[in-house]
Amino acid sequence: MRPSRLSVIYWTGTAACFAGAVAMLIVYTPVEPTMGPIQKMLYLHWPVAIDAFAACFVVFVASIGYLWQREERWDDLAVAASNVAAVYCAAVLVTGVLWARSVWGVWWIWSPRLTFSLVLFLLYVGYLALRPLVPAERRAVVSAGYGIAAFVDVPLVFLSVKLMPDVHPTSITLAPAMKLTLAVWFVPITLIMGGLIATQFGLNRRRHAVGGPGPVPVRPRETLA
Amino acid sequence: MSPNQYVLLGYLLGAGLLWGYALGLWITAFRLGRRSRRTSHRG
Repeated sequence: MRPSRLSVIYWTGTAACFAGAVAMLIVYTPVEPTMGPIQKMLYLHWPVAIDAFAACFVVFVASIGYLWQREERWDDLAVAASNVAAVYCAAVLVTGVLWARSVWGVWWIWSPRLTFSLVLFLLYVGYLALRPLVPAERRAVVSAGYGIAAFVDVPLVFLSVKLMPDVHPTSITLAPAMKLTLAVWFVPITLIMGGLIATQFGLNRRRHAVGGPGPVPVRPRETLA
Repeated sequence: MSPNQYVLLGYLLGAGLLWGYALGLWITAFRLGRRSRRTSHRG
């Protein structure tokens, strides 16, 4: 496939933003005095977590869109976003457990936010794993219902530290240079998320066009004949 | 491991997941495009 010029520009820009954010983290961002160098995990951990929520929201909206309009493209979008949500949740968990190991000396604590975050990851992995098991004619409808129900966990992850005792702080104070770094890191992480959803969505659409194993059943046999 | 090593590992694995997924999508898109070209040539 020859990638479109827009796609090449988009991913080159995203890679440049990412490289800039890494350089900023190394040469500009100060070390937090209380927690030490491990606090620098925040600049990846937090944007990835927020963008994981955003990807889950796209699944939620696309699922509603499918139930409303019954158009295949909504289902394709929900599947694309659920792939991205699962990958972003995995990245949140990976950075989280390494942070926990360094600060608390343990890999995992069953605190409310960590537990709900693990559940969120499993929900979207489950979405992708269980989808092929649903009969083809009902797959998109069942997936849409699941995509809407799975989103319930997102506010639970977000609000868990406010409603229940948790190891995560309810609020954090950052120096201006740290706030700037955090803001900068949101740019490449969000661009990657948007690019991944768009690319995966395009692939899902094209799989249908060439008759491959798409995320929803390919057109009925009689229309292909 | 020192905190710096944990940070390095976190960024390698976390960002590696995102970029690895992007690379996988590009490879899949490339293969799909080649397959579709081959199919259209046969047709």
